[in-house]
Amino acid sequence: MSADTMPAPLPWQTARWRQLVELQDSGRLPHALLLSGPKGVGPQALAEALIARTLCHHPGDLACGHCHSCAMLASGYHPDLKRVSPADKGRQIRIDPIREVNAFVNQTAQQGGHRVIVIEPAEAMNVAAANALLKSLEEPGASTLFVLLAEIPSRLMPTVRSRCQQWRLATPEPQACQAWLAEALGEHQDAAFWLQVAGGLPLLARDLATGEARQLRQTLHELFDALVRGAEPVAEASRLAGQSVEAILWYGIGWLEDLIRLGLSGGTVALRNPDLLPLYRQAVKNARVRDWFRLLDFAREQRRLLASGGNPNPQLVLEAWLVRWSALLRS
Amino acid sequence: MKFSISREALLRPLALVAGVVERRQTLPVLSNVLIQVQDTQVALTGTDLEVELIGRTAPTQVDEPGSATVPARKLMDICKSLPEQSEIQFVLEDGRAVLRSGRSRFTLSTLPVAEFPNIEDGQGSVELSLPRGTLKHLIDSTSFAMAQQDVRYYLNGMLLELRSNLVRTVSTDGHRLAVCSRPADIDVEPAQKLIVPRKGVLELSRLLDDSDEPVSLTLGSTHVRAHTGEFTFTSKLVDGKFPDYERVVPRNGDKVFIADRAELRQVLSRTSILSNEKYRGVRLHLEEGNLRVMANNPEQEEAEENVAIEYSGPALEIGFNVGYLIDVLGVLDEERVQMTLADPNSSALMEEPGGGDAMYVVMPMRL
Repeated sequence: MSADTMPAPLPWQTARWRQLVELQDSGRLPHALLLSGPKGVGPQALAEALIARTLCHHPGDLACGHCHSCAMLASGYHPDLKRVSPADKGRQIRIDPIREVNAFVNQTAQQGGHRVIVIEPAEAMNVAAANALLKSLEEPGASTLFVLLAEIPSRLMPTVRSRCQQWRLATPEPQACQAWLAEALGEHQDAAFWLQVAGGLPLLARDLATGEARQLRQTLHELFDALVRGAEPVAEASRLAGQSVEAILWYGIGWLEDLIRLGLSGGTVALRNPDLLPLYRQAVKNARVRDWFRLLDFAREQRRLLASGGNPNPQLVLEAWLVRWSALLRS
Repeated sequence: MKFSISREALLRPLALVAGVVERRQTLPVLSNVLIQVQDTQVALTGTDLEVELIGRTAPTQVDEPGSATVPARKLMDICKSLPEQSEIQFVLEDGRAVLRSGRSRFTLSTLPVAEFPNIEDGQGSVELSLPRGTLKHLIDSTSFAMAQQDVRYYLNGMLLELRSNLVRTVSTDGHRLAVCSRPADIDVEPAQKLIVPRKGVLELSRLLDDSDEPVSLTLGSTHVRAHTGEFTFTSKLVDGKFPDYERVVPRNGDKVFIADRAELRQVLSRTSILSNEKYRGVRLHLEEGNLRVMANNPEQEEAEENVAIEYSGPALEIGFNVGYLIDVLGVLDEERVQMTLADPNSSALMEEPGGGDAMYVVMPMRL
């Protein structure tokens, strides 16, 4: 194994990474870092690189990749690293894993270096779990590093937030990530277009442009087209059976925002989905901006309910969502 | 890697090392034992991430040095069931370990050595040496009072205090406290205080014997390491601050009695049968020359015993958890015991008559 295979930050995170390395080398890295930012920016990559470097015995600019610690980490397990995630996806982090964290922090590191605790996503902690963490998070022993990853830090308890140093990872400049995206997508793909669709989030752009996500976008595009022509929404909803409701809502929200932009300004420069422009033009004629906003509120509320661990019937959510769309498109 | 070794030479260290390895492991490599072969020495390492034990033994012949990890329990069961005095040949072939002995042949799976979380040397800051018997006595005199899974995590272990010419161990669970100190020929400046976790204390005590042979201790910021000739034992530490035990030791006791230890212990065990099963409270009535021990339970059953003691002073009535008193009487090794009391709300001090190297403080209970 060599240093190339060790986790490294993504190209647009170079400046942040340098700051972190500088802090760590001067011994001024805080004991708790809250890395926040949308998943599409890749906070995980930055966190993994930092974890590997913290645990490494001979860190250079990155983790060395040769020492005992790096070998253990590469095999998928390190005795001084504790990862906490929800037991099953989309669920909460309960108090038991946090109690294990407390026990882990109470004993010194097995390898004699740092102890690292990663909580991802930190918003998933329920109230009891967050409260159980406070004592350890506030005053852990020496050489302990907590890394909390949160997409929406405002969902965290303020008492947890205030105990961490918050690092926001903003949407990168398009120039910084287009080269990376072009390489990830292959040559014949339009990196700039997908970056625009993803709202400037490079990792999201990569996911959207490949495989099932791309297929879903195509299906939704056709469905939108059919709705504008007056198709029956309940019948159309059956075409989406088995697809993730979150993904469908995400596209819907993006398109609604485009419609509102177009309706308010008439400009086409800021649109995220320029390929849909003909459909937008037709839709904008049919409804008022106020109605689009109302639909947007509905979509966001549904998304919030899903994120907070609700378990709605996906068929019903989709039908309700499409019925509202078609009502607006036809009015 | 290729070497041969007699069954007996392998089995003794292997049994001890495999004792550290826990049966149910979340991580496959932890159920393995690391075998490192050098020119004249075979080292076996087992760990459960809290304690690590390295056992060393001498092979009959080494053809090729090297290292491998193999399942600990399976290796031990194989060695145990081979006939006595048999010679075992150990070879690593294509990532599998092959054991041959007489007409038997076993092939064991291995895992990469790099994944084994053994602790690397050279992290210690202070080194010193003690007679094994001294350390064992200190641990055995105090280990019973350690807390178990207390939220005050720093109590789930034993304080090991080393200062110039003195070693001391302290443990407490908040209701009783045990302190034992002995002079030792060591020079530690400044004084070192570290908390060894419960599991580490119990394992270390199992490895020590009563001899005057030395055990050398290496104290690091994150580990304590004990070397004897054949074993190296390493434990993580509890990352916390131990409470100030000196403030807990009562100084105002004026009612001192001396009793026969074995007799008092029997009296207490008998009366404890009829004490409340949950709180285990007994009442002690102290009078001139006599101690009356009484217990009753929610079913209104009663026990009363009298025992002769050496005491002259005012009468006193005080309650205790009988389990705590019996524990202390169990570890004292003098024939007689001295108990110092002040009033029904103050803790009692138990020690050898005239004060030995150990001191025990027990909090009273209100009955």
